[in-house]
Amino acid sequence: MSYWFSWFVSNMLPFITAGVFFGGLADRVYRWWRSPRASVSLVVPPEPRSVGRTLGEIVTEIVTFRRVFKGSRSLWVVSWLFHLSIFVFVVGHFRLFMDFSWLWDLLRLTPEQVDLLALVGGGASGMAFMLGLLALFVRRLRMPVRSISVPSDYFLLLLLLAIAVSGNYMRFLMHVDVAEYRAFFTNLFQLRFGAPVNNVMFTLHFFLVQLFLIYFPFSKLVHIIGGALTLKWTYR
Amino acid sequence: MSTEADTRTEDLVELFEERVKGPIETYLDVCVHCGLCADACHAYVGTGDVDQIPSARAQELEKVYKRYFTRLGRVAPWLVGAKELNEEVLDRLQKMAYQCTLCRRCALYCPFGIDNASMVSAIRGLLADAGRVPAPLWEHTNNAYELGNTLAISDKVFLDRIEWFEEELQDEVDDDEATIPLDREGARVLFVPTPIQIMRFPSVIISAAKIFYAVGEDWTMSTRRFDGTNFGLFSGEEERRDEMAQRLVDEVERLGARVLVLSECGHSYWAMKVAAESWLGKPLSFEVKNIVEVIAEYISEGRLKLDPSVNKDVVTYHDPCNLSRKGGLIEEPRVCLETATESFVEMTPSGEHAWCCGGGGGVITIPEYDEVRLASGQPKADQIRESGAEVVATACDNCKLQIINLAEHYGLDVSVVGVVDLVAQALILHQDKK
Repeated sequence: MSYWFSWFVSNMLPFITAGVFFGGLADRVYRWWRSPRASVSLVVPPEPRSVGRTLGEIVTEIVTFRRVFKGSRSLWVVSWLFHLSIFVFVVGHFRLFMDFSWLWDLLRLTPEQVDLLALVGGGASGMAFMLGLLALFVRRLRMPVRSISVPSDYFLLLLLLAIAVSGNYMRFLMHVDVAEYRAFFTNLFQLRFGAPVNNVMFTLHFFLVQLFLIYFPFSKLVHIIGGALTLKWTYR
Repeated sequence: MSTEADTRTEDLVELFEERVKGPIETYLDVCVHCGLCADACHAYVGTGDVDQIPSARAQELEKVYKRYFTRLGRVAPWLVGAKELNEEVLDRLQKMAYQCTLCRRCALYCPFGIDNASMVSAIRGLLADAGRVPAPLWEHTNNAYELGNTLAISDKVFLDRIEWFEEELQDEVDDDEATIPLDREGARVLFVPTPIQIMRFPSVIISAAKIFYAVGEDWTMSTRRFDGTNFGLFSGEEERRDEMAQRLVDEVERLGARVLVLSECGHSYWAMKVAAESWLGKPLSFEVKNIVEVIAEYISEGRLKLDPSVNKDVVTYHDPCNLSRKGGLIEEPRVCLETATESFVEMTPSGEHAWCCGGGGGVITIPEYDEVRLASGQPKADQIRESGAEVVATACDNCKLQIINLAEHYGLDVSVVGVVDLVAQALILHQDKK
């Protein structure tokens, strides 16, 4: 992998990525918010619900995937674990950005225990993520889901799979020097250019993640915000 | 150089943009193509046709939308699967839009609550603009628009029928003074039936009259407006849809009634109760109720004496989508049936999750779609069979017609009856004369 490519991925691309991701999402949300109100109530069934109850319904839905559970038990198992794993490893990645020694002191964990937590947590979530993607990919290749799929659906699954594989490779097969990554990201968040992390797999992983984030606002992934809005319309 | 066809497409596209603005854009963005809507839709489950999957309909709409309203869709349609609005696409959209019953069951099972019915309504609007409403449906709509009711019932025929109903009523309640009031100004309730009831299910009207008689309701019917249906809604033609709603509003106001009571008809209730204010752009000055709702009120208030032993057969209730899932009337018909019958059983699922019977949305008026309609009714037929019921009670004409068809097609040994009829049969009127 050329040094120039790593340098580009680590220093320049993140600004493009952040711009497109946040700007694109903001534009999308703005467009949704400004859309003319539905001409007829979309609430099913049309009973008046309080703000509190609607909020409760939406939060319950997001946390438990209740509607998916009702529709298909097997899809619920895959989908819920898949999404849960995302939550776990996203939270886990924060360890690469900042120091949590205050938390470990509070929980009275030794550095070895923290590393073990990271291995198990990161490993389990990484595996669940990867296996979930494989299961979803197989599901999408079968009827009837295949008939309502578009190339973008497959592209996203494959992109995420590559991210999962590269991430799991780092988690299981490489030594992770947290301090080195923390230094790199701290530098980045301070909007400074610096030497990229000298790791091909990391550069690949980081590149794929950014590709994902750039594609994000133009794809169905916007459901993470849009879905809550449409749920709100159906509950209230 | 643009041809006539090009100009027509341009006009259609312009009208199209208006319809898709708003929630529909969001729905198209949010749909993740998960396919949970497929197993929730009776049309897909019954026919196995992937074109019936709600997401498939939405995506068809999306492809046309992309072609004219997105940058990539305009310059590189092949890349994003954008489609031009040509005859082939219009054919496909027509099939998809008019075979959907607008039941909204998919919206309950979609993780994001995406309302496919509003997308199908937008497609119907587009098709109406393109002159593509299926002919039989359009005929009903025009009858109603030009002549005041879908079956072109003349005033004379109406009056004859009402006279006959009144005689039946008088026999039933053993009182020569009992009437079906017409055009009474200042009556509290204006009761509006449907042409199908006038011509084919008159018992519903007679039963309602009997119940009004029993509680001494201050009510009337109208000789001008005896069609509560709204085929403008079914055809997707907004001008006719709004006009039909407005006519009912005008009549209620003309007679000075305080409550518009719609008969056993699903969509007429939803149209006036949930949708009319948005369509007409102003609040209604009167209440809108369904006859089943009103009867449940009478029962709760203790104004009706019922003898459930008159209705001994095992009865189950089919929830019309427009009344329950879309209208919110889930408890009311059950209050009626549990008091009026001895042996009531629920189907599973029921209430807001009930399976659509497959007869709504206007599909029952289109003979070309009969095969699809009957196949779509399979989940419902299975439910009915599983319930072990001998009688299926429901509160919607189209549901009744459909379930009668389903019973024949699937060999179900059930009779179909209106909730109002069961209540009227169980009515104890003159206790001293009993």
